[in-house]
Amino acid sequence: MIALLWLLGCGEKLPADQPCIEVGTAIANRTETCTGKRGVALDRLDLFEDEYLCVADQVDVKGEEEADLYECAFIVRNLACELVEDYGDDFERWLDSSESCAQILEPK
Amino acid sequence: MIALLLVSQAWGGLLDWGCTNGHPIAGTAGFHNGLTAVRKNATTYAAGSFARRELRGPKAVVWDMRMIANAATVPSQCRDQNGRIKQTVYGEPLDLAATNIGFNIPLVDEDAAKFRVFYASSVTQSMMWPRTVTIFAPMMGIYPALLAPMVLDNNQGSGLGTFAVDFIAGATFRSDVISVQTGLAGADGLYLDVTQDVSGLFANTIFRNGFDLANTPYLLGGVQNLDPTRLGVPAGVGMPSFYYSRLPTADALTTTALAEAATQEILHGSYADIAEMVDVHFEHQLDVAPRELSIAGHNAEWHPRHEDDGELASGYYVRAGAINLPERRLLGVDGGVLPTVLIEGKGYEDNMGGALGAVLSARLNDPDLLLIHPYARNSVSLRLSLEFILK
Repeated sequence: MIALLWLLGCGEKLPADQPCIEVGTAIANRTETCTGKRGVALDRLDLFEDEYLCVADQVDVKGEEEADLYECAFIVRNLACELVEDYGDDFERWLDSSESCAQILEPK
Repeated sequence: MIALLLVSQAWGGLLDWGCTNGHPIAGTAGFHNGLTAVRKNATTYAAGSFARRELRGPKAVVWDMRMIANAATVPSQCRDQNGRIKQTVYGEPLDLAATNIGFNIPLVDEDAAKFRVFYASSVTQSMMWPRTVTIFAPMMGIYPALLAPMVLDNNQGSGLGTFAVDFIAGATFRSDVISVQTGLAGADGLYLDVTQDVSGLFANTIFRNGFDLANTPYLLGGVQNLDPTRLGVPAGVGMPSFYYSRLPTADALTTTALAEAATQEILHGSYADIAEMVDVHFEHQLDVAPRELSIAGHNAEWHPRHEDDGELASGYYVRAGAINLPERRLLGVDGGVLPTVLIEGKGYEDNMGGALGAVLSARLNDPDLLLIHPYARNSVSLRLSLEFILK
């Protein structure tokens, strides 16, 4: 059992589009946090996935840490509620919060 | 055990499966979920639920240790120079541990009435280190558990690797009519459990900041183990339970981002000890979905009917079933049906004027765990409990 536990503890590589998934989840989560409306958050997540294409797998991360691709999600998840309310469904403004967002996401 | 650890570590080392220098990435759903898991672990295995579960009866000393592997998966940067996942972002499992210590001292022990004073404490830990180290964390929790009133929760909530401490000091009055357990919970709480043993009717909570039932850290109530043998019915008829729980805590959830999990209301039902060998369990999460349906087999002595008269449970228990995990997109969690399995064994031996007991259990995808950590996948929980019962 302990051997099995040890093996279950091994880390797994994440999919190439994980940084983009994190941005979408961060936008939706921040929306729910600030508005208290889960329905609005889920609709916004759908809209985001419809409007943006993930290009994270095309980024050359040589010499840099792959973790840098997650900076966009970090910034978005920590936006002030005033900004969240102001930005609404205008994802361009959300993604302007960090230069790293343009690295991994493009409008469809 | 040591041999197994060495073999597993050597095997993992040969395959380069792990990462020795991983750094969690803040801002990801996994990181966020990990923080939630840490907070909820502290409330799930808090002193209150432990006191009701273990210290209402004649147990004089209980030392309960749990390890919960894979409570969340946290995206992390592996800074190793070698290995399968060197210099990449990978999902690192977050492990949780819980240690509960309880002492129960009888002051009055008559047939008609019993009065005991008790101390119950809880130490919960969260870790992202190699499991060859963390497997011992529940054991090491004994020190802060014994010193809980002095340690309190000075380090609570400071990240993914942290610990929380909680305690209750109180008393139990138990008669043929009613049982009341109450005490000081931490620095500012009042723990209260009221149970009518014949009908199994009970209510259990902790009041903080006044007596507002809508704002308690948790609330449990209903009928648990209605025992027809107390009314002269044969034991094979079984023991029904039907109760409500509201979990986890109001005060442990510090941001509204955790609101998706903040008001989990569950109806629990079970029919235990049918023909003295079968249990059936179901759970329904209100406003969400049916959660669990499982069936268990056990030996005839597994459910003690008259624990206060010295009857001890021992033997084996095997439970299997399915859990329905709802989709939670805001947590980055896919829904689905998962298997759940519990294997448990316990035994007692007369010693030192009482009985020494040990309980060992392993569980895959614990429904209660998935309720509070919905992002856990293939989580494995191990439990070792050591007990001493006065006779």
